[in-house]
Amino acid sequence: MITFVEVAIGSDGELGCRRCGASSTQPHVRRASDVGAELASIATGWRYGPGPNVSFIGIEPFVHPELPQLIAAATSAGFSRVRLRTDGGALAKADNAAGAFSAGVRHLEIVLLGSAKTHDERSGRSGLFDDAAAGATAFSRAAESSAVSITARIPVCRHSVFDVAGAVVAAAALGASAATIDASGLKWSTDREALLDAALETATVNRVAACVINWDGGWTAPYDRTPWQSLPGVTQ
Amino acid sequence: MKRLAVALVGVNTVGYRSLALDYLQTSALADPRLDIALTRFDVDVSLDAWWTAYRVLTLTPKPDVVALPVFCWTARHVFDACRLVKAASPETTIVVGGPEVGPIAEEVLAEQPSVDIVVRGEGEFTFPEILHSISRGGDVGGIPGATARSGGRIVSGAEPKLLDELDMLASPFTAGLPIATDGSAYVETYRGCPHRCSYCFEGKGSSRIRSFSWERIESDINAVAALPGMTAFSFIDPVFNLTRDRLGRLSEILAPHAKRGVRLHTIEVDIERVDAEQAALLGAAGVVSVESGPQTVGAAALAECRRSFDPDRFAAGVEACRAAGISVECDLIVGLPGDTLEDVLDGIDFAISLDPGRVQLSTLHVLPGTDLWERATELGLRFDREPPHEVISTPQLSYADLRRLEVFGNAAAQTYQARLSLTPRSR
Repeated sequence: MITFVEVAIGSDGELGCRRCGASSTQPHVRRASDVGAELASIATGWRYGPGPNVSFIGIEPFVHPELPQLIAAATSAGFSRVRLRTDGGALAKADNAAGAFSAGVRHLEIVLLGSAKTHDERSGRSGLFDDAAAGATAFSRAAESSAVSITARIPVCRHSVFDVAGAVVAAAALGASAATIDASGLKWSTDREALLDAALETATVNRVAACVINWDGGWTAPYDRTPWQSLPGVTQ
Repeated sequence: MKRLAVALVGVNTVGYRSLALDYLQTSALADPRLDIALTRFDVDVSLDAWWTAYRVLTLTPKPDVVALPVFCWTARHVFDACRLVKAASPETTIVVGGPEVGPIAEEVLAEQPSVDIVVRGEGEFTFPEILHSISRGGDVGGIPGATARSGGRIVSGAEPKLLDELDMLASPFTAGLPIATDGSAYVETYRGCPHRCSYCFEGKGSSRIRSFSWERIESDINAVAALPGMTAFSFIDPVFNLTRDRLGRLSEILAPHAKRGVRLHTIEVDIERVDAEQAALLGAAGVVSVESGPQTVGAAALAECRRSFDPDRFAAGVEACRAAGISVECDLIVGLPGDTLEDVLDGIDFAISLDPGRVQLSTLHVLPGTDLWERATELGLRFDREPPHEVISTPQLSYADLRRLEVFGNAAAQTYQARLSLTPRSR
């Protein structure tokens, strides 16, 4: 399958549950020149099949002051697939979606904390889901006949696990073809395992390929493979 | 003899105009015995069948005969339209043909009371015979290749003989019919298929190749390719690189048009035969994309489907195309008998690992007339008897497995497809 190398463009700045203290720390931004050097190194040594492919993670990419330079560094290094992990809010503003597409972004991984209502509550940002939905639509529209991919990343914690199936439905509403449920913030229990299993079934009937990662109970997915795999970048 | 009003109705998927209907139209118009007022129109399968019926029922003159080709993916629309037309105009004779109905003609008539006649096999001679018989008030049931209602019974004429001299068929390309210039036109250079894949009806039960003459092929290609505004078209041939000599000859005919910018897309090839020389011939012909298997990489399914597969030769063929700047669409079928879950995942992995340009997954359709249709019970294949006949379960894969694999495969293909350059780069 397709491999993406995750490259941190900052740290402590991804969307997370407010009640878990996700927004209490100040995000750190990584310099474009440092990221560029890492990208060049990854591209040169690429040995994972079709690619190279990169996923920018660590902070909300649209708050990075040098995002255009980061994308340009990836495309000029020969990356075929550039993915942004984003809360999607900024995509609805101005020409961000069209700009990201024309700069070379073909993949969006939208972070979802639950169904629309839960997402807004847990993020502490009213209207964020609607903005993400509008952004996803704008991105697909900007692509016209070109292929783009929208997927979801669903970090679950004890505050949001009850609504993980709702998050999967929300992902489908955004047009996501796949979802990664990250259970690293969750301790194992029988009830929680059942909720995650229900989320996987909900994904299938909504035509979303889902898997659960970082789960105490072990690997949870229909198969031992996913539509893509993520590898950590050099700095992680 | 009464002048017969005939309506030909093409129900098409997006980007495709029924070539079969073009052949029927030219054959009927070329028959000197017939005095017909012929109307032809095409609709998109996504249109509500009520509007297809509306268009038929508002034609002037009112059609005495309505004919529609049927494919598995258009059958529901066609049968709905037939039902409505028959209800509104019981005196109209409804004729259907095509791969969805020909092999199960009697079953279709038993299940579709609105359909009067089914054409089995190639229709270019059978259909004009039917029109001739109707115009004279004769009995259609005795016509070779036709199955019809007669005196409360369903009667089938003799099996039609396959036409050896394809040049006897009037050419739809030189007959003045509209030819799409946007890539949706298809040209045919031969009939039959050298392969006997058990899921496919391409060869219509015959592996014998019947070719048009080179004079006719050249004439048809030039009629299409030289059309003002022509940008792209394709070929319906099951294997474009049937032989090296044939490919070379086709490339020669097509090269002048390619130099003017006319492109060929989605050409079906046997990719394991493609080497640098064949890829160069394809490139010179203007081919920008080809379509091939492997359909599956599982040994059991390959044997069950009578397919051969050499992963090294397949990969070499893809590489040769890539080096010539030709995108390859690798097709995979989910739900073939014998394939396990791991086989399907391995197939997706294999196809993506080649970086071919496009990976396309489809669910098995157990089509009438195919070996799988005949042997479904023996193989433990459960499928929907209603068109498009999708597989429900196999001994190896449950209904849920199949649905999960479809979702997974589509996500994988979409992840692969979304990339910066759609033109494959040489490694």
